[in-house]
Amino acid sequence: MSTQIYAETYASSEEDKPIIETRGLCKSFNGTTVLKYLNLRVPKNSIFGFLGPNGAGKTTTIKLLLGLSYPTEGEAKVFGKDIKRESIVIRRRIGYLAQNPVFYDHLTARETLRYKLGFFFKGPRDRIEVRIQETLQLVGLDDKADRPIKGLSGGERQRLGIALAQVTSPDLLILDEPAANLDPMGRRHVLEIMEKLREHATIFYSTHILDDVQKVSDIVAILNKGRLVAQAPIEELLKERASIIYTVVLEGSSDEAQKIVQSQDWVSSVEALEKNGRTTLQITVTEEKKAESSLLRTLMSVPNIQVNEFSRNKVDLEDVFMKIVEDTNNDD
Amino acid sequence: MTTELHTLSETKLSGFRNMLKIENSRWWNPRNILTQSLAWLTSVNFIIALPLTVAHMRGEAGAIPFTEVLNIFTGILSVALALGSVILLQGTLVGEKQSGTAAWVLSNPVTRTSFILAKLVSNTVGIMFVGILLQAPVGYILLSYSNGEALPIYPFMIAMGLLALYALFYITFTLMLGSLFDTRRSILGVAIMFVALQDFLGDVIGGVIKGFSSILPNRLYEGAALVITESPLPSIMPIAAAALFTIIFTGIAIWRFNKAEF
Repeated sequence: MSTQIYAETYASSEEDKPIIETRGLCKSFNGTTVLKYLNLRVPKNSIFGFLGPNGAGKTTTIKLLLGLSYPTEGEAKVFGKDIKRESIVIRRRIGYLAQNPVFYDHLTARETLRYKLGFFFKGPRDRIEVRIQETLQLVGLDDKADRPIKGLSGGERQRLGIALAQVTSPDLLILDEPAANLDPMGRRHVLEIMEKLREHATIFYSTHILDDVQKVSDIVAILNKGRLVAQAPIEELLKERASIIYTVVLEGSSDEAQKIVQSQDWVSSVEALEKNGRTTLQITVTEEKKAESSLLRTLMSVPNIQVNEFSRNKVDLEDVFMKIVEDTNNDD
Repeated sequence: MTTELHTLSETKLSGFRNMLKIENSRWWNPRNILTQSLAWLTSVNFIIALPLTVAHMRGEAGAIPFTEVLNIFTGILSVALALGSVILLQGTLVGEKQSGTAAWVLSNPVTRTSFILAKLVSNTVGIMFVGILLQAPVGYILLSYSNGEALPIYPFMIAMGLLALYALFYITFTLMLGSLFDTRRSILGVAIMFVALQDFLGDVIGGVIKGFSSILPNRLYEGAALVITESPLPSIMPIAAAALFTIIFTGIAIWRFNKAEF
């Protein structure tokens, strides 16, 4: 699979070692393998989108990287350190947001941030308080900082989770569904925070919101049924995986037009749909350049037809994601 | 900005102090400590104070023999310490495992050993305060009143030490069960069964294995009553066994928690 070969070529061309690197990472629970020989490479300062349907193994992978769970087979390194032997050293440089963030309800948001920082820093106290205040402002919780967490809404808890993940200025942020409980404004805010943080941190995050992934991610990996089925820069993935399809609406006798278009060696298929005296053609092509330069001209040269509409279909990550997942499901 | 803050270094007990601070804050928040203090005082010393007060008001100060009051005091205090420890610690690990807070805490640079030890230390200190430090002076006054004269202080302190060890046995026992089981029900079931059946177990197994009953923790509160009356302890075996068991239970809790997955 060419997208997987990317990992090897990327590693050899990149001077820095990957921030996360897994080799043959496996995890089984009671005899059921939920993660199968995962080979991931997450480059420094990238925003790495980790995608997959529910139960694909995304959270399991995250837990393995954090030392919350142990691999059955294989190995993984974060910052070049082994996840089994050097977990504490790794965790000192990580900020983590869980899928459903939970905290001690009796503490306030400020106390929780103070508690978090207490694992990382010993002082000075006033600087720690300044850091807490800045972080609360960043996520818009400064006005609710001194209320017990049990009084916060789901979205506010999520924002607190994001604050906690980044308050230590980690080198790596691991976010498990960071925008899951947020409204559209909250989602946008999270994406903005991620953009800001990428200047000095690597962001590894799992999500179901593919629109967000397309907006901010540099690289994506797709996991299905515990197996890595794609890993590539987002543009590359879209280019490789997406079929190039043109939609053309014709008036008049379309049979001739269909025949001529179908006969081109860069056209792989033509589907026609007739309605109200108009014919809509879905033309799938194999060579983008040839299609761009010749398709419309070819159609215009056909006698007795009129081209009413001509457009290229926009393929987004969701289409690619669905296609990859369905293909791998069919392979199984 | 990171450079402005002083970073902590990694040790085998990374995160212990920070965790202990938060665990202590649960125990020592005014509402909790007041509730606990009142509950323990009521369930232990009030029960002894009540009949003594009634007898005093009736002018029958010596009606209840001292040995009986002493046995009630050590008996009730030991039951309170055992059940109190089990109840207070049954959810300390399981609750955090189930809610997900353990996973959140452990995603920070904190060792699992620190996690267990912070729970152990904070709960031990809390239970010792409400169960021993708070009960001992009141109990001493009541027992001295019943005795008709002040009890010798050192034997009484040694007796409290034995009861503290008895509580520590149940604290570590429940903590260990919390690392082995995933439900509060299982922990409560096993722990309360042990509290209730240890005399029976001592008789049954003690009939087969000689000396078995002397390693059971209930010998400690029986010993405490003897020490207060300045009688010699029949054996130091219960003390050695309880001390050894607390170490074993703590070791198992740490070992098992280090293997746990979140």
